[in-house]
Amino acid sequence: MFIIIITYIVIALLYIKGVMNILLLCRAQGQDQVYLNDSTYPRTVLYMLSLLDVIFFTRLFRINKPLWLGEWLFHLSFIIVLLAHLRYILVGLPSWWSHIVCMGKYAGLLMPLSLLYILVVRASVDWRRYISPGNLCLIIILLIISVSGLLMRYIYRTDIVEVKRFMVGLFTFSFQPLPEGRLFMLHYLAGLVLLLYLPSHVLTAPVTISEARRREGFRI
Amino acid sequence: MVRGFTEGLGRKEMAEIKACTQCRECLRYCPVQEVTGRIAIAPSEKIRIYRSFIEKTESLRALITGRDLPEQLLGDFTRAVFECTTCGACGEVCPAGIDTQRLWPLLRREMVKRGLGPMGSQAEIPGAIESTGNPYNQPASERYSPWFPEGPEPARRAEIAYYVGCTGAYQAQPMVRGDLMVLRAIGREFTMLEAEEEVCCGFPLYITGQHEPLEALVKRLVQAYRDRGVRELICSCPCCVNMMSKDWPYYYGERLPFRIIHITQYVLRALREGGLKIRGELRERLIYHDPCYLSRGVGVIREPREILQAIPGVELVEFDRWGRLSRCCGAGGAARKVFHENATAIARLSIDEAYEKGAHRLVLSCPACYEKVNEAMRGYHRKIMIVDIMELLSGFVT
Repeated sequence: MFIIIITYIVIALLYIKGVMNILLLCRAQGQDQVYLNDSTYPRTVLYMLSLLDVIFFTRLFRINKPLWLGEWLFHLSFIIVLLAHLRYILVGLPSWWSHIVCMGKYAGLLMPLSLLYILVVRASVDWRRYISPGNLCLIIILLIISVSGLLMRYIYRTDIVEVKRFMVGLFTFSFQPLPEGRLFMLHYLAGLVLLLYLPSHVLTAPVTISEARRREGFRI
Repeated sequence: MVRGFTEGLGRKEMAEIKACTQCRECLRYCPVQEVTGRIAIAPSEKIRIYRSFIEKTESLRALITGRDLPEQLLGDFTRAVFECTTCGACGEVCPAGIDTQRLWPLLRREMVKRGLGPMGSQAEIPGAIESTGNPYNQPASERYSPWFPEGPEPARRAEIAYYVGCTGAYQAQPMVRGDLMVLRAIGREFTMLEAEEEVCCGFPLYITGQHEPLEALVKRLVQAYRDRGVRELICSCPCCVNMMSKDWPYYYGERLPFRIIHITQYVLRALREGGLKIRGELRERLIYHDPCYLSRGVGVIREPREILQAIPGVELVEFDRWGRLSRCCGAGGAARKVFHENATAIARLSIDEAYEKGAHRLVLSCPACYEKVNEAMRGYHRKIMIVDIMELLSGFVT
């Protein structure tokens, strides 16, 4: 029951945080940017380029290719793993979702590797200078989540039927017993911590990256 | 009601503050970091701290724990945000695309509104502009007279106008003298405001967060050019060009009735159209320094290079970081007078590189760079001749 209460508290905090951020955004009324040098490129081209910038992290690619490789692979694998995890929450997913679940197996392996690679790239320059404490914490949390997930997948198998029953129970308010095993507990709690510390750039960086493309126009 | 830290920001800036990933890529390109190495004043740290100000005063946590912020923290942040040269290199390399060249002045304005900024002599700028029309507190009557080259006077009315700018007029006179000589060589009629009429463009006020007098200043200048029938306003100072093109429309309240162009854009056009001929040759290795507000600010990178390469015999070499990635000369952000040591150390990085690349001359196209690099060479063991691009070109077109 303790875990269930904590889960609801985290979700409530997440909602409140989201609402507060929207309110702050509405409150911001300062001077808007004025563009005198209107871009000569068609808007659709700029929108397409913005989309590519967001999907492929082209800005990072321009300035730090080794880091780009790690970051892009991490974000890609994280999204695939997240999508694959939806099968534990949602009922009645289409049959083709099994392909995503299958991809999730490989993405699950890629995720901790890409995180370790990011750490190595950072450490190769100047460890203390180029890794912020916040990012280091985040990487550690993600490593705990991904490694515990892999262990449950390949070595200390967890009953996924129990997991699904528990998760669906949370969302339908018909609470079910927590699946057995400390590894699941660790994986689940680390996931809740990640939700609390979810960096705000997840939502705002796509906006600022698109804005940068509008500002800079066509530029590879 | 307590003033919130989000009140002076637009939605774009709010999104930017939330978008910083703390990846610290900016640290590798920040000139202040290069000479101080203090992470506490790094771009990503400033954003993190400002974000914490918002969270501590305007979030759910603020309702529970209170809204007080330690004076020391506010003071340190103010110093950090004013120690910046606002060169925008951090924004250029930001993977999240944060427009820092625009963000820092707005954060400075917030600290000014809280009575914590500006720093040192920056506080004298509004008074100096009000009494003399320029931030250097120099007599308006001497704006043109000490350097104005002999020859025909500018027209009373013309479609083209030339704005000298305060730094050029009082601190980098060979530069603006060169501008006028090249403009005369092109032969098209142009106009200029009277010495007392041409006041500061507002950039020093904008960049130090003292925005109150801007509207009146901008309206006065725009109206003066409008009265003279101007369609194209030429200026050689990158900070002025940046201010005019990005901020004048906001303070004027509508689209400007004329275009703003940098002098290199105008001169290159004249060269291409045959309105300007280059005579003679220059067998020298030149290195060109991109001013932050020209390259990153308004994207003028190609034009100065094409002009230099149009002079027969010139060998043009580049800094390791050039164009949009160029390193600041140290003079930016009105920090050069307050954080003098940083500014000099930054300028010397460019002097060193130009010297090591065997350049005969370091070509500049910004009066603040001109003044700063010149000053940084005093008492330094390495020397390199500096020249403004129009000052150099004027020797081949007249």
